[in-house]
This record gives sequence, C-alpha cells and structure tokens, in this order.
Amino acid sequence: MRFQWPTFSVRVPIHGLVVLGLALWFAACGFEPENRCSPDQIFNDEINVCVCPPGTMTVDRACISCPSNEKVVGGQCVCADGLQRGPNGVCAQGIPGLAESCVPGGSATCSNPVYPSCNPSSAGGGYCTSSGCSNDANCPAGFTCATWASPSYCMRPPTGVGKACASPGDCAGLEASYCESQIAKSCLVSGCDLALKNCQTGFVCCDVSAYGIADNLCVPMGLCP
Amino acid sequence: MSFRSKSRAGITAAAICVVVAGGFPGVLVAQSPDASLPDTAVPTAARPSEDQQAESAIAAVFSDDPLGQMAALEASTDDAEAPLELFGFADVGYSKPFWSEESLYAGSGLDARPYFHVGNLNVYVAKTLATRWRFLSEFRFTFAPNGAPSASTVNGMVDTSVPDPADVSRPFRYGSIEIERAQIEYELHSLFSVAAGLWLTPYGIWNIDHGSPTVIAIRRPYIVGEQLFPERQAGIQLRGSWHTGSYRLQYHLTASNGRGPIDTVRDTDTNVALGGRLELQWRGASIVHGGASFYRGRYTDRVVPKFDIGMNKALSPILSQFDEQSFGFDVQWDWKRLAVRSEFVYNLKVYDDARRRLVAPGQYTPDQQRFGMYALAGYRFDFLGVMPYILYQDYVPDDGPNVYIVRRFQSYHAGLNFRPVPRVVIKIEYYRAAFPGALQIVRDAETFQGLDLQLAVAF
Repeated sequence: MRFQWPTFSVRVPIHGLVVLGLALWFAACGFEPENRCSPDQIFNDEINVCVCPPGTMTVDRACISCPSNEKVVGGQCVCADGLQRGPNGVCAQGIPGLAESCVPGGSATCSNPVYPSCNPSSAGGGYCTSSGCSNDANCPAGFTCATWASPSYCMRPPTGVGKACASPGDCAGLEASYCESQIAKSCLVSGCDLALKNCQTGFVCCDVSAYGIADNLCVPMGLCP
Repeated sequence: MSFRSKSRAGITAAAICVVVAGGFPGVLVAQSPDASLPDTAVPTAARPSEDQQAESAIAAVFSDDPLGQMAALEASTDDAEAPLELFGFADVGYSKPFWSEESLYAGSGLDARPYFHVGNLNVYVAKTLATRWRFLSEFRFTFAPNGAPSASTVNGMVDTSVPDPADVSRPFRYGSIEIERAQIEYELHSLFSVAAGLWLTPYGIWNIDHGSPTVIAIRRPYIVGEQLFPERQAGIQLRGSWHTGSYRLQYHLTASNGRGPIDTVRDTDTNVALGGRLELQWRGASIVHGGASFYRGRYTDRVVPKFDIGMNKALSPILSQFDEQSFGFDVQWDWKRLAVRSEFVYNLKVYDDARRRLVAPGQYTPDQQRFGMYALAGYRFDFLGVMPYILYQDYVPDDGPNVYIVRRFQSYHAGLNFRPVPRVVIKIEYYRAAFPGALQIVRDAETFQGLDLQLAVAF
C-alpha cells in the first residue's frame, strides 16, 4: 500500500499539539541565564556553581565582604600576604617573629621564643612557628595545626594558594607550586598524602590521577572531583 | 483479531497477560514496529503465522492499546476471580569499551575492561480484583548495592558479602529489590479511569516503554535516564482515551508528591506536583503517534522534624528547595517495516534563593536547565527478523557542579536488533560519543566509544 500522509482533517489536532507545545515552551521561560544565582552571588561558569563575588565570603548563605587587610582563601577570610591576625582579630603587620624566615637546623634562628620552631618550607628555607599543638585553636589565626607531623606544629597558609595562574611558571617558588589551569586556574599545593590528609584547614587532599595529574593536590573542600 | 479468542496453548499465557496487563497503559509498551497492537481490522486471510501471533501477543503485553483496555474490562466483567498473573522480562549483556584503563573515563567510574553483566530482572504481578478493579506491580531485582562506590572501603566499592546463617556462615552476597510501580486502578469508562499508587510518569516513549525485549536499542536515551521528568511518582493518575475511525486521543492527568528524597512515601512540602500528557494516534497506511507532556512540582530536602523543647515546637530546617518544570514532545512513526522514534525533553529548576543546595563551602547550586533529544530509525527485515537501526542523541546536562567537565553530550549509535523467536531478542550496538565545549582535559581524552551486546527475553 502506498504511504499517504494524514489528510487535513487530522492536521487540526496536530496543530493543537503544536500550540500546546508552544504554550509549554513559553511556560518554561522563567529561566534567566544571566540570573541563575541569588542576587548577591555570581555564577562561576567554570565549575557551574553560585559563589560569592571576589573579596567576599559566605556566611549563612549571604555574601559578606572580608574586613580590610584580608582576603578569601578556601571560603574563609584570611590575612592578606605579609599580615597576621593579632589577638584582637585584626590583620596587621605580623606578630614579631611569627613566620619569619629561618634556616632549619642552620644558623638563622627564630627571634621570638613564642615561635621558636623553624619549620622547613617546601619552597626552600623555613619559617618560624610554634610546635606541640593539638588543634587549630592552639595556633595563630589562619594557621593549621599539622597533627600529622611529629611533633605537631602550626603550619602557615601555604604561600601562593589561590593565586591566579595560567602556566607552571606563575607558581614557581611558591609553596603552592602547582598551577591547576583547567578548573581552579590557580596555584595549589601538590604532593599531599591521602592517608595523612596533610592539607591546610578548608582544603582536602585529592587524588587527581584520573585527570592525568600524577601527584595529589590540596583543593578547596568539596571541589575534589 | 481478539486476544480472548486465541485457542493455541502456546499463546494462551501471553494472551492472559494481554487481557490483564492491557488495562494498564504502559505495562510495557511495544516500541518495536512489528510489536504491533491488536488489530481487529486484519482480514482472516492475512492473519499472521502462529509465531507472529505469539510475538504480537507478547508485544501487546507491553502495550497500552485501548482495545487491550477494553478486553481487560470485558475480562474483569466476565471473570472477577481471574488468577494472579506473573510475567516479566530479563536481559543479560556483554560490554566492550574501547577506552584504556588509564583513561579519563575509567577514572570516572566507567569500566574500561570488557565485562558480562545481568541487566534487568523485572517481574510483574497483576490481578483483576473485581469488575473494573485491577492491580499491577512491577519489581526489579538487582545486585545493588554490591559494587556501588564507597568511600569507606579500601577498594572503593561496597561488598555485600555477609555470612549465611543457613550454610555454616559461608559468605553470600545479598541484593535488593526496586519497586518500579505498584498501582490500583479503577476504570469507570474508556474515557475515564483512575490509578493510585506508584506509577511510571506518562511522558514520551521510552519511560514507560522500558521492557528490554521491546525497546529497539540497548540503553535508555540520556534524556530519559537522567530523569528530566521524574521516572515515577506516587499519587493519582487520571486517564482515558477516545477513538474514532483511525484516530485515538489519549490523555493523562497526574497529581503526586512530586520529586523528593522520600517521594514514594512522603511529601516533604505542601506542594502537589501536577502533570499531564496528550497523545494523538493515527492508524492508517502508517501509524503515527504524537505526544506532548508536562510536569511541574517542587523538590524539598529537609531535616526530619524534631521537637525543640526550648522553642516549644517541631523544627524541620529545609536544606534545599527548588521548583521545577518539565515538558516534552515525542513522535513515533511506523510505516510498513520502518520505525522512527524521537523525543525532546526540557527541564528547568529554579531554586529558592535562601535554599540553594550547598555543594561545597561557599558554593551553591545555580538555577539549571537541561534539555536534549534523541532520534532513532530502524527497519525490520524478514530475514531472522533483523532490524538495523541508528540512534542519535544530543543532551545538554547543565546539572550542577558534578558535570562541569561536560557541557554537552552527543552520541551516535548503530546496531542490530533481531528476534530469532518471539520471546527472545538479541541486540548488538556500537556507540561513539563526543563532548563539544568540554574542558580541554576531556577534549584531549580518548574517543568515547564501545560495543554492547544484549540478550533479552520476555517470560
């Protein structure tokens, strides 16, 4: 039998379906690609999430600006480079002797007896800090208690974490020496241990070998693919 | 041809299934073009062979034909004490991915090594309870959660091995049962029937047409598997059909709990999800179906209510909440031995700004829209009932932070579907996918391609 298209009489309901479809289409027009997040948030197209604008952090779903002299790292306000949080909670020029340069086992010792331990830096040299902590509360603000080490010590925020980068050279000489140029597009600490979980607070040690990256990376919590 | 008039013992069981299941639109819908619906217009001289009759009967078990409904109605009138019916389908398969064990895909949980697997083992339990009253349930038996990802085991997989108390504590692996549907139906008239319970959402072609012996390709299309519409809902469904001459108009209206973490047993908000479907069928020189479907509901994830003595009231904080809306269109065209299927589906999620889902510190899920389509064409030859087919899929996931690597998914499939005997279907399919717009790491990865074989049976 030769195929015949439906006659005009059936096209009326087909048109009805088309009209219905258009109505449904318009009903779905509530989507605004430029306005996919809360009013105070911005859309991060790289990782497909709503985040607070640069320089702000999330507090109870609201975006709060960090105080002056502070920046956001890993979803937290931390002191800007070269500054340290004092007892009053304000970031200012560093606490004398804290994180000052030293040479582990060498002649350059730490000047402040409160921070007598010269801890080696993965970028070379060392920095002065305290040891024997049991949790972050025992450390200066922004420091992480490295309980995985023996003895434990207060680890400073790795230098360069969060610094924007496009190539390995952008992270050279920093403790965050690995440039993750695909997603985070920033300098990250590499070589962490999955079992020790030896990343700074707010970060997690992530196995990214499936993505062609041999060494584990410390990535902001929740971003480990 | 009336299924109630069949006398051959070999097809009696199938015919009973038709009578019982025919009243449940979408028990298993025939997707294959030669899985034709009961046709009273077939002249005696042109009646099919016994095999064809059996095949047609099996296919009609999987159909939502109104004649089947009428037959079921008659059956229920004549035989209120109809026996409990058991039937179902199963499939096993072999997959050969063509990516390496070191590839991005292997590291994302997609096995690189070839493997055999048991896919579906679905059993239907149905009964005509009384005049106009029917019950249908469908259970899928699975090995899950064995092998599911686990962060708490060394090898990263769940091991369901437990001591068997009946066999001197030798280990055995337990599995699980997924309740696909459980519905009670009252049919007042062909224009109006009510189904209550857990039912498959009436949209498109593939969601209801999920019996592996009757679907043409091996796997569900992405737009179906990703549930742009909820796969099933707990609630009430009204439906009916009207037909005259060569035309049939069918409608579905649904009201349910909508989607939620425990939507099969609870509604975590006060919003009733509503949906519907209109389908027009024309049966002439060819068979054409056109359908449009709609769904609107609210998803709410909240903490179990706990009474706070200090505040003297129960508290149940909402963790995340969004309104969603889906619509879809589908078309089926069967002309002689040619079968064409296509669906387009769209889903929109708009979050309550104060209740966006937290995915990481400082990171929240954005409003999302997902959409996609597939188109399938196949031609059934006489020789062994072989049907070569091709399938194209295009899907934009935009489904939150877990898929930021893939922005769009396109896949091309070519396969053979043949049916050596009516109850057995063998399929072989090659697929190849592309990810336009993906991050460089995906664009640099190996080609995503593989070969699947499936053996599916209806019983």
